[in-house]
Amino acid sequence: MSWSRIQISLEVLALSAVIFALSIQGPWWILVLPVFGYGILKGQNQRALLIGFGAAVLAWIASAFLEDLASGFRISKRIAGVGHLRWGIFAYLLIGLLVGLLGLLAASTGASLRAILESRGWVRRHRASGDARAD
Amino acid sequence: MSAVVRFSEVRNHYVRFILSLVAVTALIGVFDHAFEPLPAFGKLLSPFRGLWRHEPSLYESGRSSETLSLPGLNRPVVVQVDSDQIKHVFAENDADLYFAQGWINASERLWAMEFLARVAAGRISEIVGSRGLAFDEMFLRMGLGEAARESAELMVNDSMVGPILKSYIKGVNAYIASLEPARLPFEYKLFAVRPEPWTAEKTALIQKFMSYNLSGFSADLALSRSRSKLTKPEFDELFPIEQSHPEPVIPKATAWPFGSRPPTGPNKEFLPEARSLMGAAPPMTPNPANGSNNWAVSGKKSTTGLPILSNDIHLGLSLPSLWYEMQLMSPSQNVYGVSLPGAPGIVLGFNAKVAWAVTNGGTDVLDWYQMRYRDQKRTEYLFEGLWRPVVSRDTSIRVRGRAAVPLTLRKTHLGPIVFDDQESVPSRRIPRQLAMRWTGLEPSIEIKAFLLLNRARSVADCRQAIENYNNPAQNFLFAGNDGTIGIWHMGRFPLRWKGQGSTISDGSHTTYEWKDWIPRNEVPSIKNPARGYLSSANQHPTDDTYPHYLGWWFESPFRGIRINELLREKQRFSPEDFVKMQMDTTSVHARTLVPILAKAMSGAKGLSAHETEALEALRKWDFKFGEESVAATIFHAWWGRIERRMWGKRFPDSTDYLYPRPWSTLTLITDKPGSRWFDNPETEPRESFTELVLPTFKEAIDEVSSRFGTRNVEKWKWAHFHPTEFDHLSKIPGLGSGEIQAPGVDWTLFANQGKHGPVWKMVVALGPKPRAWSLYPGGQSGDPTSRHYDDFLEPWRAGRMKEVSFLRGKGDLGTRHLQTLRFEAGTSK
Repeated sequence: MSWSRIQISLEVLALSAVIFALSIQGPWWILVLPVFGYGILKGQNQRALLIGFGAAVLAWIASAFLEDLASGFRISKRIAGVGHLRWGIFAYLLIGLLVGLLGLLAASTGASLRAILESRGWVRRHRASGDARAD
Repeated sequence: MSAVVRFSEVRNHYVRFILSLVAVTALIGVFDHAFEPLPAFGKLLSPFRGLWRHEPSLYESGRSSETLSLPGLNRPVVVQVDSDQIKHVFAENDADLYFAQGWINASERLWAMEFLARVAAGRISEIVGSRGLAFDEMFLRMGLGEAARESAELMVNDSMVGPILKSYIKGVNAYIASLEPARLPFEYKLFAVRPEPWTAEKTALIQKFMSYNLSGFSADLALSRSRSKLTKPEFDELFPIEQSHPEPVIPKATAWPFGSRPPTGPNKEFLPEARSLMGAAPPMTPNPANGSNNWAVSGKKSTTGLPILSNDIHLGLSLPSLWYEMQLMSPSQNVYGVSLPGAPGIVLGFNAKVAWAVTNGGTDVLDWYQMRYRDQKRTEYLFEGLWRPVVSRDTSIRVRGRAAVPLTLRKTHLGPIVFDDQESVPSRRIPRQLAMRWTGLEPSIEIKAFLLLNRARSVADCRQAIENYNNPAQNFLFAGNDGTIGIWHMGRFPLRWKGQGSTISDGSHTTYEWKDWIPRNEVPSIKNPARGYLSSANQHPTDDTYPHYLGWWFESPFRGIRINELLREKQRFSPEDFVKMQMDTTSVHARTLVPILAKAMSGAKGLSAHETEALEALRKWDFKFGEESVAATIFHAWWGRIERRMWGKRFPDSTDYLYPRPWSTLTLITDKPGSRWFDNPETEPRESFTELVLPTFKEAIDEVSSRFGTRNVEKWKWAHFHPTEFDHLSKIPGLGSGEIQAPGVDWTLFANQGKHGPVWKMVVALGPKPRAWSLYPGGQSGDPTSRHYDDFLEPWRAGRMKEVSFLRGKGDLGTRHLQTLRFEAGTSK
């Protein structure tokens, strides 16, 4: 595995750990705050969006999986059933879709803000930023 | 870089930022908001607090002992949990015993308790939105809430029941107070509601709901419609008021030490007007097959030398079950059986001295009256030549997500006008603008009868206990370890003239009112019969010599016949024999009819290969409705076609009109095969039963083969044709069982109708140390994500009852011990 991929994985893990910690007490949408912050930190590039998406999905799916595991996978089966879905895996897909979209948009919002700040010269242009250009 | 390019780039950043921000905010907004009836999906699907959040119940923690501090408890209570999750509760006094029962019932069945109470009160729209309106309107108009309020007052003021109920309520509310959001039952999270505090009124509502379930069915309207299609002699032939059943509950030729004194009936038959034969479409009606089996043998017919008793209750199949199995022990009692969560005590069960079993009695305690209103406003009605006011009360139904719906409730001196909507579609089973008289609406305290049964030490005590019992009519079967067995068809029954209330009654004359009651010492009963056994299966309680008229609608006697023939087959019965009997799937109905059908089909020409194969399967049949039986499928479809062919032309719709009872139809086939009722009135020449056999057989085979094909008749298995499914109690999709395969049909002892069947099975062998076997479908947990939600389903399907652990003290459960809980007196926060 390349260093870049390891780095991405570590960032996803770190960000999802933050989301996890905040979600224990915070409202369900609290994940947008750390992902938004991460977007600001990292700037506008596909990698930031990918990590925002991945971290949000990982935090929720992993938490759901742990709960589901403890119940013998009855929770996912019941949630899927309530939604007229056939298999429990669809319950995971459902929350993955919801939270992934939110993570992606939150990262995008943060990264866009970073780009504005950079263009105003209020923060230093990020080296890794995909938008970075030499003046 | 030029300024233009720079401006464009900055503008793009702003646009992207604003669009992303709007999208993320909108997404949060959308998923944080409940668009009724849809829930707020964000919170609901969050694994940190929504449906995914799973807090294993106390009983599934895996720890072998737990200590809890419960505010409201006086002395410590010990709860032994066995490997089937049955809780054995040991308390030093009754107050703590019922407190603990309330706490445990709530910890496993809170949603079911609250939901049933809300249904009876007409309050489910508050939770489910406008989908619940029709239910709420019906129950509010019926007045179950008002009856429950009056009953709750009676209960609370009763010197015995009051303190018990208060302790139970305290226990339920102690549990509710301890509930953190993450531990809310699945359904509360789904609907985003919190449990309400429990009250005596809610207990009474559950009691009234059960009354409705067991005695709220009425065939009066459908029978009146059928009457309108027949002459009086025809009606009397097809719907005889006096039915000569071969095996009534009380053995034939039992002498009655009292005479008949019916009230005076009308000189002329009352025929309701056409407007009264219109009906509203009720959102639910109790299943007329809500019934049960019970039987007992005395010591002279048992292998133990003492009575053995059996009971299986037939109701709608639901998850979670209505019942919750437990043992309750205090210095005043030691009782085992099932409780009805929401009410204290054990409803069906046994103690060291007696066992009791019930079946639905079926005696008519509900009449409909045609009212003659003064005008379209319907504010006054005529009674005995005088105009009386209709008493109106304005109320409203609170509906989730929309404005409350106003409702005017109307009442006559005979009872409420249940379906009052003039705009209703004119059809279906419940009459409109008619007044309903039903004993279930009277304040009552049935719970007292069961609490006294829990403490009974003899069959005489049991008989005394049911003096407090009013509704629904039940066949109470008792067995004592002194060797006594006895059965009482108990309830509060109006004294009627023959036939009174079988069809819609005239609400303008006193002749049709209920004026008196059958004295409780004159209800059908028998103790220690010479034959050494007793049984009931919802059939007619007595033969025609019983002096009082009890009603018309009773279950066909097929199960009753089968039980009694089995009980006559052997000299002595073991408890294991009774366990086996409960799974009996032999159909007396099929056994009577199939030889006649097969004979009529002999020599039939023009049968296809699969029709010949099907007929052959039927000829070789053992009349058992086993899962694998192909013949059962063919017979069932064939019987349906025969009934439709015989009655469908005369009574246009089997829902709106009543067909003659299956027993009457069968008697016509066996005793009067040339009867004109086999003739199709639209064709010539006149046909007899034999002419009806071949076409109905072909129709039945067409019906089955259209579902399963004709290539392999072996695929026509009964369990495929007649799948079994347990719905969630609140009909929430995905929380039921899905389709499972199980044997039985409505007229076999294992009376599985697919969505209705045995929901509590018990066998008790009395003795110095009573032994008992039990099972109910579902599981002890009401949590759909628990493995104990449905772990009794497989044993139920396969007929494996478990021997229960009836503890005589706090003693160990041995290898069946799972957990010991210690509830200690705590202080309020």
